[in-house]
Amino acid sequence: MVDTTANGGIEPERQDKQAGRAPIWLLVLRKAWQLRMGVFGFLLLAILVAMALFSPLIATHDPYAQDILARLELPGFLGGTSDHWLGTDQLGRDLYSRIVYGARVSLMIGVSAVVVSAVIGIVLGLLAGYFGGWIDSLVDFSVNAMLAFPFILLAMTLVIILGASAENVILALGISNWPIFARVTRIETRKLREQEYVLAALAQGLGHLRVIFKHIFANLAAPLLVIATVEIARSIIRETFLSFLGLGIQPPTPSWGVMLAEGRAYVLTVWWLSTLPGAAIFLAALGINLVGDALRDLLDPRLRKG
Amino acid sequence: MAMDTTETTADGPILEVRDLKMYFPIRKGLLKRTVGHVHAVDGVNFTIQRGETLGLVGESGCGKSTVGRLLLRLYAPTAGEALFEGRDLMAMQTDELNRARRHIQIIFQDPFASLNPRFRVKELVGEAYRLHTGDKDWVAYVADLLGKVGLQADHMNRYPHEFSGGQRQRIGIARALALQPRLIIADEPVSALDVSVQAQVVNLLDSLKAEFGFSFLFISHDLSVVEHIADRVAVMYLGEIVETASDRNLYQDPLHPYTQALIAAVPKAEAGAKRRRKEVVRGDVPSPINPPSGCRFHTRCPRAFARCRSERPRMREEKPDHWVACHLYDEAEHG
Amino acid sequence: MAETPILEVTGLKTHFHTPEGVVRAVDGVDFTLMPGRTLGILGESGSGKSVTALSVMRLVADPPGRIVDGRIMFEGRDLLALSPAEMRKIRGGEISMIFQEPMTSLNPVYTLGDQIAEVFQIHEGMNREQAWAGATDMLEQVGIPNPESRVDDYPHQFSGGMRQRAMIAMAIACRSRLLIADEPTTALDVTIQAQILDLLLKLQEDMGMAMMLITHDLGVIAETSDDVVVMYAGEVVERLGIDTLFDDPRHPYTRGLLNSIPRLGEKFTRGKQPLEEIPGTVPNLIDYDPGCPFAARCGQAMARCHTERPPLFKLNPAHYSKCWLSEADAEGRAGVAAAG
Repeated sequence: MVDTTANGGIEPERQDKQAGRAPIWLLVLRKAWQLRMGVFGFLLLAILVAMALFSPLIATHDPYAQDILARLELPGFLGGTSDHWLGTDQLGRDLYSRIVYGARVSLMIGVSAVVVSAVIGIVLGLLAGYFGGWIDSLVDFSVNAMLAFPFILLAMTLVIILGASAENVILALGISNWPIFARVTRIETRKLREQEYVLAALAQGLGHLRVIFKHIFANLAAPLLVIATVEIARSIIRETFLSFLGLGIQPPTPSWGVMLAEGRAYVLTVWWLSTLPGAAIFLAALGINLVGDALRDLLDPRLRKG
Repeated sequence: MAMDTTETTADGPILEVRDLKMYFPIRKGLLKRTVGHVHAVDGVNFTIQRGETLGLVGESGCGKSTVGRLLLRLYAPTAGEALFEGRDLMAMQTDELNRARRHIQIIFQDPFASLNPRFRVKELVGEAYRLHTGDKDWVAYVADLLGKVGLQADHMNRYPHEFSGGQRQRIGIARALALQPRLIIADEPVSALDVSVQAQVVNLLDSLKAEFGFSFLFISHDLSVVEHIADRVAVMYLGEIVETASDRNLYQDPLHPYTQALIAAVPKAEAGAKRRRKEVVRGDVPSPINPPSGCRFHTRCPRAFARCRSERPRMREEKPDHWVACHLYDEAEHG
Repeated sequence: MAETPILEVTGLKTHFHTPEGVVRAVDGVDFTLMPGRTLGILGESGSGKSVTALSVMRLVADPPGRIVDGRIMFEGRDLLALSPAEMRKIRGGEISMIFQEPMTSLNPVYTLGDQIAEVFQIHEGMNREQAWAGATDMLEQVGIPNPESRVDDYPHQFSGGMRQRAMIAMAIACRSRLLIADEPTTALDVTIQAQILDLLLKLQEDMGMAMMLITHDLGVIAETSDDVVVMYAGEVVERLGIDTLFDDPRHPYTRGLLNSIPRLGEKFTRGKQPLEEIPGTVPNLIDYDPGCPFAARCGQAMARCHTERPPLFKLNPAHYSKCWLSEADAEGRAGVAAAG
């Protein structure tokens, strides 16, 4: 059926040969499960974004305010009676408020680092895939060389050279991670370059840059968005890792990684000091990854309704 | 209609292709060394007169599509010239080429692959026109064009996937017409369409040609469609043109054994065709990587003789304006 | 008729359950095929012609597809009533099938010899040497040069035409009595197409098998078939002999198809005229319309055509048409006639 104007490209003549073996009820259950996980992911992400954007409104205390008299207060769920419902840390700062402000730091760094790596990786990937030749060989070699190097070692080296600060963490994470974007962009661009609609654009006398950044990039946006989402989650985890090692965000800034490191000394007694920021990291990463999965399904034209 | 068509030179053919060659390198191994070449187009000559439709027929792998793409310089040719209104397309620099490309447009075979799925019809059809002319009224221009190809103006805000195969091909035709080209190259424009939709598109191309007066290179494997639409026909085999003649002469009086075999092989949609089946040409098309010596058809030709294996036949005008490359027509042997 | 048909399909309906709704890919197909004859099934993409073939082979993937109604009688046995094991014996043994794209129907990791020999071992119980000799013999029969050495080659080492020959060799290895060919030459060049059609016709004559040839190409139908079934939107719209197809077609869709294709030589005998167009496009098969599925594109449609689906009218024992225009000339209806 070539003419599938309104029915979403159903092709009965071919469908029967491609159909999977799973029974239909299993497919339906699986789909519903996927959808629910997606909704859950979006919910987690929404909470994360809200915490980051409206930290002053959501937090109950100043995250930097120390109260030596009220150190290591018990959280409410463990029978604490103070107005710090998640208790306080070793300096008497409100743990809940620090976690809320930590979301701002984590999200900012996660997103910025991905923007840096995406811009570098996509531009190089587009140019390499489109023009081929020496630029392609160069990008391909660099990608392979960088992927052969342990990622975190690369990022750590860069932070040590640049010095530990929020900007430099972004830069270090961004620079170490561009090959992920370059590799996908390069391969997809090579395929798209041979597409007839790209040839048609060239045949109409449009310039190379326009063809690359408008015609080819438009078809890459969806898969790259999915990758970017997943990379944000990974960058958040990497930031906490660097901060945990003292190479990232510096105290007293409320970063989840810093909080994790500071709580480490009390892990056997005041265990929630490290466990609660740890849970925040876990939920944030989980939420973003679930959103990534949902986006992949939504943006996949084979799964999407015409 | 605000296109500038002033630079037309009045006389002479619109396109003259001379000894065009395209060898694609085959690379192998770690260092991507060239280990051979695909002789896709190997010394092709033809001419298209102003307002004429030239049909280019041949089987898959004969190089006909490569010729079409070479004319738009979508590949860099190995050798040869293609004079478009007297200027060599193959020698042009980027700027001059981009200007020339406005006057030569292409319609592709696959209406699903040739339209960018992320663009609305408005942009697909109007983008190049808007950029090249700066016309503020480009949307109205697009609406007008859509009407001419049998679509409605309100289709312009839709995406390609909302259309059927035939409608998509109409969009592709509108895009090709947008710059008011003087030459249109159509590469198998109806082959991917359903039989009942093919006729619609063939008729549309015919009537648009009458209205816009462009010259037309119609590339197809379908001899019946080419006969219907073309004024002159060139037959390609393994990268070479073996015969060129007017439509009538080529079909009613084919000279080259390959042309004769092609025409005989077309299944005839008529009563009694089964009872009248004839012996057909034997064997497979040889590989274009190591094409046969001499005449490339000699491995399958029922009338081949010694010279065919050693000497490449030259194009000769055997009858008035009927050119053929075949040793059967060499003066000494066969008058 | 004295002879009994080798294949008789009545009221076949095969539907696909998709998220968008039920696709009525085959929705009421009747035909008969006599031993040794060729039945051409003519239709465009989406007409249901391939699903019809797969239904006869019981190869429709379930889900999403399912044969919901009808009878498929093969030499007196109802194929739809057979167990999967019995059906497996029939497939490749008594009924075999070849497809449009031989590259995807041959297994790329086995040699041709392996694949053909396997058929002999399964269906004929031959030992390995016999089966291998049989495979070489089959390749020779389908006109593959140097069969002794080519039998050790892998599918990718063959050209498109040679692969289709190999596919045919596999299909006819067990001297099946019915060969179903689904667009067997559509992917091939015209000179190779002619060779393959020649081969099919020659094998059919030598082996006396019946053939069901599915195609969108009127020329291929004309050069191969004895009887023709024209399908549109999942239904048989006309059934007739090959000569009647060209001399006296009755259904407006059949007529439209015949007039819409350019024919070699026509331009010089009759002058250049525009091709006759069938307006519009093929309908989608989800939205069930009570009227004739072709009514929206038909130049002769009447009010009744949009509201009431025509039955298959019998014009004579060899000619049926599913069109209200045929009612006046009809002797009866297909369902009624079949009983008598």
